[in-house]
Amino acid sequence: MSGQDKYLGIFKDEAREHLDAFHAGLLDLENNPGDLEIVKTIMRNAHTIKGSARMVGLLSLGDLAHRVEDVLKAVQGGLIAADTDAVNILLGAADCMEASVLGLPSGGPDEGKMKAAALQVSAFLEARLAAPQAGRPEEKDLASELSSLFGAPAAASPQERAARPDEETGPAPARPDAEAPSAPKAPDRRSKPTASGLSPDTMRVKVPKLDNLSNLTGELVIMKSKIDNNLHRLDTIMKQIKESAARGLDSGGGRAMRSLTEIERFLSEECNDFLEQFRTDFSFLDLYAEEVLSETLSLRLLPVSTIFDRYHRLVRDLKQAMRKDIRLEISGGEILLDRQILEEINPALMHLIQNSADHGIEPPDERAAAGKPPGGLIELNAFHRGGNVVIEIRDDGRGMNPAKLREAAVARGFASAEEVEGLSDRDSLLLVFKDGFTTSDRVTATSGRGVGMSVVWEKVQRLKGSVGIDSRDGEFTRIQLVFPPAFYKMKALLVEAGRQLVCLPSNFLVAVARINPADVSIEGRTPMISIQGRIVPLVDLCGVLGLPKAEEGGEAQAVSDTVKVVMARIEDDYIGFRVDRIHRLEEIIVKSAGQYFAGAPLISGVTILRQGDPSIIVNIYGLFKRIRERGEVAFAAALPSAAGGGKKRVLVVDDSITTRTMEKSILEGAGYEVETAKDGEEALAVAAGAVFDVVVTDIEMPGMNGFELTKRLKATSKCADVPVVIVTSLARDEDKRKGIEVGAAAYIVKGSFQQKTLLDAVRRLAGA
Amino acid sequence: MGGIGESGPRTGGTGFNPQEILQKMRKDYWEGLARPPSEAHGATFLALTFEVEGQVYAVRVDSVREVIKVPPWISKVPRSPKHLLGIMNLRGQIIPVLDIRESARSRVGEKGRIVVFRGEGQDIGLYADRVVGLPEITVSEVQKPRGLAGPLPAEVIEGQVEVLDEESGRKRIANLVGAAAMIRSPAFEFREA
Repeated sequence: MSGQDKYLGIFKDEAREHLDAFHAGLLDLENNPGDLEIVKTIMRNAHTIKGSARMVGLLSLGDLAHRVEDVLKAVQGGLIAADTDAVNILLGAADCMEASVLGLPSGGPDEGKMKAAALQVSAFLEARLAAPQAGRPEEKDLASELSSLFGAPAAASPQERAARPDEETGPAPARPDAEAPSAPKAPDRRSKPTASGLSPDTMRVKVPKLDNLSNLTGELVIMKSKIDNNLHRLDTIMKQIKESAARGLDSGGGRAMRSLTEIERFLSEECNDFLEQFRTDFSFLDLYAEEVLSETLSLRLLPVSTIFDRYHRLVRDLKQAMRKDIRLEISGGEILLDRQILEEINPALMHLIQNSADHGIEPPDERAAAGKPPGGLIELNAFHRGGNVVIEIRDDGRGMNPAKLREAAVARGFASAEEVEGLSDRDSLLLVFKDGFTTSDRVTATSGRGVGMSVVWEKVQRLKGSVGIDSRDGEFTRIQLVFPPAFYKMKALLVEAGRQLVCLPSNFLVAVARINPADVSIEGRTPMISIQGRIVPLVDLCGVLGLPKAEEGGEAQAVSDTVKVVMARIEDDYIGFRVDRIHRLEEIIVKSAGQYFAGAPLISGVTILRQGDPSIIVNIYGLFKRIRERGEVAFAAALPSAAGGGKKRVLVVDDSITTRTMEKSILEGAGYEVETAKDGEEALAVAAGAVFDVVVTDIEMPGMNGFELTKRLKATSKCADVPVVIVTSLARDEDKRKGIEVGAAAYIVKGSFQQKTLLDAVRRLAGA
Repeated sequence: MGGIGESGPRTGGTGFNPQEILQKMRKDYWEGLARPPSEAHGATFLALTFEVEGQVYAVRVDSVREVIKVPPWISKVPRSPKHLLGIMNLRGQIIPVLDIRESARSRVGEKGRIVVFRGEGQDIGLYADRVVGLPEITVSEVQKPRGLAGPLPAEVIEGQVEVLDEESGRKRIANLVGAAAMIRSPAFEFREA
């Protein structure tokens, strides 16, 4: 029944809120047993749950809440103490209530469990009241208490229990109407699908936030009607213009305008007015639209305290299970993170805390021997760093010994002795993230199985985050998980590939460059370029993506046209991607491309650009993989520093002695070594006998002309890669095109000849 | 046939057994339900008909999310198969657009439209040269497809039916397309080219 479901849904939200507060309050109470204010507050929580549960007909839940209230009343009245036992009992009841609330609206409470829990709470209260202050457990009771707490002698870890939602062990489910046990017994911890406290499909939103959104949306609608008005106004103006045109300038009648000047004045006044109005309206529209967007996106962000706060309970349980004194300190709970990240890292964080408690923090005697305070400290911090959110778990336990880690890695076959040899201490710490790695000889219920850390690693990687680890032997271990604050947003470079814009995620990009076409050398089949002292293969982005080519002028590109290159990097692989245009770096919102594209390895998502057009976000991993697999390019290593320290050599070819001498002196003045030749034949002969970095040639020469010379030079293996600069008075496009065809790298027209133009060209091409 | 007066139940009358009548009604009802829908006499559904390269197609209206003009920008997808025209932005949602034309792909006529099919978890668009109409189709008139010509695989075509092309006033044979089958069809899935 949907009506009933609706109420149950509301109740569920309300009850969870109160249960969370109740939970937190109880843990607070345990640390401050005498604080009656806390008792009062959590009593109110229990009371509200009781009332609402009865309203929606969940009588057993109401009954349990009622009995919890009774216990709290007794505490308030000073009849019983709010000690660990009492807190255990109440926490157990809270878990039971929570488990039944979580199943709503579809599944109701498990009546048997509820009844058993209620009986247990009452039994506890009766026992305590009958023997006031005698119920405090002695040291010897602890073991039995623990075993009852954790169900079995081989205490299962709290986390394990959380991981088995079906095995809700509640209070003695086998004997629902068991008589009151004499030892206080706490029911099992929370056992539910998402221990994070986040429900998968729904979320709670603060009312002011929603109000703000509705207000903004309202404003948007108003803006819509304003723009509608503007359109009407434009219509009217158009009509008036048409009317005057129809009546003619000389009709003299009515409202017709008499002269061009009049029409002009009318038009400029009306249009100015219109434009001004339109601009104002538009700027508001723009503002509201942006605000609605950011507000809506921020709905996904939640404070990390949403999951952090629950770890107090985890640590409390671990503390009891391990008989260590451990304190959890949390800071930065207000830092916001995407809810999906929160949901997914929750198990990883639980694991890390557990590791700290089990492996990190030493038993009290060991700590005393090491001169440390008996109580261990686990610190959980969240903070911002460089635009990312860092979650840090630090414990002041025994730390890690890099040498021991290396030993263990070899002993357990994770790495060879040689491999381990070269590892720095810092890198050695990363060994703990290897699948199956452990240094622990014992496998306890809670940790030491060596699977957890690798899972943490994978999880964080999948969320596009990173992991850092730091430790000092005997002092501390610190693990940092770094996340982008909201991974639906990313910085991307917008580039034109063929006829459309695609997005390249900026975290893979290392450089953007404009390269002279002459600087592209061909090795085998692969074009190579040099960027930032690195020789990298040049791949046409449009081609490798299989997108339609831009269909403009083709070869008729001017000599000055440069090749636009974006260099991307994955680890030690670098590739330069040739793009048609480089637009801008932009913060984009990542949308899933949808399940249709599940099998498309070159797409990592889609974004919608400002103009409303969809644009592909390129999967750089997929792109590198494709290029590598198709063997299109060899990956190049760093360029061995540019050849020699000597002067660059230039060959100047011109039949005019004036030109030859002028060019020679210009170039020598700039520090080049210059040889000259008076025609093509001589140039070929000179080039055959020496090495040049650049050839500068005229076109019109007796015998072999400059085109022919260039072609011939390019045909020799020795000079194929030497860039040729053509300096000529032939300014026709046809000649320029011919120059490019034969392989010239630059084309300078003598009419516009200036020292600087020549020097720039030579400098660029010679690389110095 | 007789009106209510003769055959309907009379209160407290003789010769009538209301029990029997109720039983018969119940029987008819269940038999009606058990019969395959195509045999249900006179049952109709609304269809959207559209034309692609001279062939008319029909699709049940309830599996069409909407029909829109071809947006000004459809982005090409890297290494996409030839039946994928690209992706478009439909009010913030990314929709793949299929194109089953054999030739002149990516040319958009003035009457060109995108028919957006409703799918499970993934809506999908299909380019149509024009929308033909919105006829009511009688289930019993849908024929088994005879000799399929055209670009659609057999599993996508539920049958054929005669529809009126109002623009030309002619009767035409439309291929009845199953939207869900179309979205699921391996012929249209994304394979890297």
